Amino acid sequence: MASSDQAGDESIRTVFDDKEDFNVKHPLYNVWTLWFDNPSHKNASAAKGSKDSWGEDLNKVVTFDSVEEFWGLYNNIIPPSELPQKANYYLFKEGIQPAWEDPANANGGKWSIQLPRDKSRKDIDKLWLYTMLSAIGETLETTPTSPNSEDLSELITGVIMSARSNFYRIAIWTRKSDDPASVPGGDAAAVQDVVKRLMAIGQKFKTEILGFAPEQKLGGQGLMTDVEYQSHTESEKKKGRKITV
Amino acid sequence: RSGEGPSSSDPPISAASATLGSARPIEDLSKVTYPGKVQSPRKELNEAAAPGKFRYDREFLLQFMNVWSEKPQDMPPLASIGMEQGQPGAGRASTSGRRASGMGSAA
Repeated sequence: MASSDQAGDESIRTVFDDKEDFNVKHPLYNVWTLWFDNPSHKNASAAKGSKDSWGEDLNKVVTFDSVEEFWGLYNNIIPPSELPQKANYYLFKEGIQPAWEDPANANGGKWSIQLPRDKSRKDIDKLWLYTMLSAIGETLETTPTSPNSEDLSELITGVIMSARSNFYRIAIWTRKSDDPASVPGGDAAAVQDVVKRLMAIGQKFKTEILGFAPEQKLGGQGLMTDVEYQSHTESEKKKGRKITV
Repeated sequence: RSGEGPSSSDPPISAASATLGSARPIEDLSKVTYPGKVQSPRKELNEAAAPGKFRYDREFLLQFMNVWSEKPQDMPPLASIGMEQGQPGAGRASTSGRRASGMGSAA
């Protein structure tokens, strides 16, 4: 314990030592903002379909940059299992709008899984919590293989939880996709590197967060889907290309 | 809008929130020791970490769940953002589910 550096000797106390008298908090790697919308809340009678109105109901809940603040937030909001249908949580890095129009998302895509509401209701709160913890704890992201690549920027921009009448969907949004056009000036190796990192995220999502076996087949049973990746441009198409893990 | 928290007399800041507000971000995780059974973040996640740029494993993070529940000062009232329970009373079981997740399975 003895340190030769007198200046650094002030005792470090975390929230675990004394909730009323701690002097350090645990910084997060990134600053995050939680957003929420519940389109059924205000104009419940208005017919849907107007794409232009997307985002109008989007509310910023809070921006945070420490582990402690995350839990203060989490412990004071409503878990997915209790949300009304159509409500969404969006947890994105600060400065990135939770929309694919945002430059950080425009060239990207998402890993997602759809889980039937009736069968997953008891698990959904845990699965969404685990997704958020992997995001803010930065354990989903694998570091680029080549430290000199132009590609040092992190891939993940945010995570989304959607509650619907028959299912829940959890998605992990990425800044780049498997589409070579999403890797600016990227040669084949750079594109391959992005794809490799994307696949690693998908595998971790499936196994470490959702708790499935690596080779487990999930889709094809009612509303359940596999863990699927699709770039935002492909998802615009009728039968857009998907990758599954 | 609701008349809550007029600027002249903002709601009092709890002692706990004030403590969080004045806490400094940890710069060197290796200098922190945790009391009792509290587990440190997995070391391999932060082997080459820059000051204050840390990664944390789930088991470490879950330990805070029942330790810190102070509502963030700048959080709007839930009703003002349309956050409300979909089916009153139907979701109570999930609260225990949330707790249970704190136990953390070996997997």
